[in-house]
Amino acid sequence: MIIISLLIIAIVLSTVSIALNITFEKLIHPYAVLDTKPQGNLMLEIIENPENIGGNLNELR
Amino acid sequence: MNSDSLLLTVAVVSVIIVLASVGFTYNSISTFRNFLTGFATEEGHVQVEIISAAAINITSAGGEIGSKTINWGPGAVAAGSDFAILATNGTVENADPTYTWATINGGFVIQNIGNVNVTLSVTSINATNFIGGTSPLFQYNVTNTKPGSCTFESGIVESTYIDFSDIATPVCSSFSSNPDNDTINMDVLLRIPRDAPPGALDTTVTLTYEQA
Repeated sequence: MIIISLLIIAIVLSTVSIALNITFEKLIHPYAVLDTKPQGNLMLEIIENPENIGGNLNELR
Repeated sequence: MNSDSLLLTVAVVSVIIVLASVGFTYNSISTFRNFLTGFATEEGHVQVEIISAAAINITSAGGEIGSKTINWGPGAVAAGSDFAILATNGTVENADPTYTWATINGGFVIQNIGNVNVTLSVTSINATNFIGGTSPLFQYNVTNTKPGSCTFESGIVESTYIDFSDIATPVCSSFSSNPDNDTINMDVLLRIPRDAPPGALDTTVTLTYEQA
């Protein structure tokens, strides 16, 4: 009987503890998904145009 | 009898552990109690403290909601042209017809998603280090998507291109958190000289902010 009572107490306290933790997380992390230092990326590739190389050579001449 | 004693011991230990767990949780909440001041009095009044939360976010890039990347892909400067111009307002000028960069319609859309006005600064790499070649340009401008969102710093003019810098450039002295005035658009412009070194280019634009 004592053992069953202790186990029931343990289960109840565990449930309360979990509920408190969930509530706590929701309250202190309402903006958890936000960037702290937002960054954007820019990408491109430059391909050498053979005709422009020719143009440069012509200018050199 | 021995098994009963063992079971009793386990049960007692489990209760002790759970009590410790509750204690830790209570202690954690107590630590942040200064942030959590909402409570009801006997008279039924409720006091609530709203926490100041400064936060901005890039909500769209290149016309794609949820993206933070603008990618023009591969391309070449047209034969006979000194440079090509790419911009996020849909501009692709003097690109080679065979190897043309993608047309990008839409810059970085930036929203103040906090509940306080913030300052906004922009940092990236300069044109010489990013593109190279003769007289490259790597610039941006800021436009209020929702009117009055950004109160511009002295010397910054709305929708007028300025050079990116590796030193943080203050752009908005106040970026509003009011949902009716909380969104700006940053367009980006590149001038790619024909003698720019070929290769893949990739850089980052960083936004920094603090409560105004």
